[in-house]
Amino acid sequence: MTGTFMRRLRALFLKADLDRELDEEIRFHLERQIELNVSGGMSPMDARYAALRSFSGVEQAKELCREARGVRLIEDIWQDLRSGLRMLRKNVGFTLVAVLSIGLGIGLVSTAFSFINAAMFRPLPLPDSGKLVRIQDDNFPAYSDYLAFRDGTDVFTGLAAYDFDNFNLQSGSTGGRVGVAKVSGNYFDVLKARMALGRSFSTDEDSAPGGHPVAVLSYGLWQSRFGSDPGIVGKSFTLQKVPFTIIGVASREFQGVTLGWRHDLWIPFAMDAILHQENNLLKNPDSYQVKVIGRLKPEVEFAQAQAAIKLIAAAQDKVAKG
Amino acid sequence: MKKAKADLLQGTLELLVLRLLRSGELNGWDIMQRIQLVSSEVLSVTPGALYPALHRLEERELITAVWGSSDNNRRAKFYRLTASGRKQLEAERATWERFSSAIDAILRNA
Repeated sequence: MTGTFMRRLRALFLKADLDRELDEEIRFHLERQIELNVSGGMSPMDARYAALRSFSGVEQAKELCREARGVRLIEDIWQDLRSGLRMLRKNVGFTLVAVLSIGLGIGLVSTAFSFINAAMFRPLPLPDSGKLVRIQDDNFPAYSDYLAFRDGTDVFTGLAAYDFDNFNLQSGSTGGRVGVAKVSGNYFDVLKARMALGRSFSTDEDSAPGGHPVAVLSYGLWQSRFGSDPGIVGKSFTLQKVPFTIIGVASREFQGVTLGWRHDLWIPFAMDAILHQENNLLKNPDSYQVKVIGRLKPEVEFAQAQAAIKLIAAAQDKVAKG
Repeated sequence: MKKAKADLLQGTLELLVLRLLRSGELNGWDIMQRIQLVSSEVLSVTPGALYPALHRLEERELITAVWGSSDNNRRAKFYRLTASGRKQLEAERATWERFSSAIDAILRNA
């Protein structure tokens, strides 16, 4: 046991180094592209957006790099390790980060994006985005933390969780890799994101593991892969050979709330139990990390919500240590 | 059919990278600029394709990486050919030349 543990630990440190190097390599490229854009006449804000878009999915590109290096195997080992061990979490002071006057948030709080400052962000193309907040720290909260924040506070009208993944999509005779956001049932409601066609998820569509194989397409994917078919609602496709039914198409301007991740479609988080049977948030709620975004109640002040979150975070820490 | 096309492009990009590294070390940004410059802006590659290609080549040990200072004095990851990389480049170039002569022959005579 000790032998395997040490090997896995060493592999973990190696992954962290490789990840840091990958981040730095990509960041260098982004900075050069931004400089080029600015010297070509773009505003700094547009320059940064254009640089990120030139990757058509920075996070996907990084995933491909990791896959090329076989680092994904290490990630799997790490997930096994964490679900096997009781995690002694340090006293994390989860912070509420106001999304709005910030606009599009960065999904991964990593050093890769430290050069991006507030000037880069635009307001989100969503109604009342002023009341949207994220909950994050150096790490993202575990799914069980998210549930505690959601159910143990009274400051949000809704708190949503989401994560990203890549899957193979097959529809008719065409197929390909797509960028997928796995989201809690209330995600679209919390964001007040509008649909171009059909509807978005209802909260009970995220209850049973694998119970609701439904999906919302991005406007872009609907155009590129499904030929802007006006009768698309009700049709199906497969992800990793698992069938999904299309219930809606997001509005043209909605592209998720994370820069650098190409959102091709959205599925309920509970479907991850089928797509990743060995390791998913329902199986490992204490170690599976999620991104969290929520809407403050109109009468709630930022500081008040911050205090409520800190209280829950402290309680969660006690549970973890105990 | 679509998969075959993607593979061809992937292989071509990797060959281009090996060729560009023949004369020295370059980082990802330099490589991207060179491809555009040397091809008189005919060819362009997205960073989303280039970086995975570099990492694949590094994994296959056809290129190796070293961190250094870029021309604007920032830390960057530079790549250079390994000995097997040079061998691979020669092998690929020979194949490419035979392939493109065959295409030429067809285009001329068809």
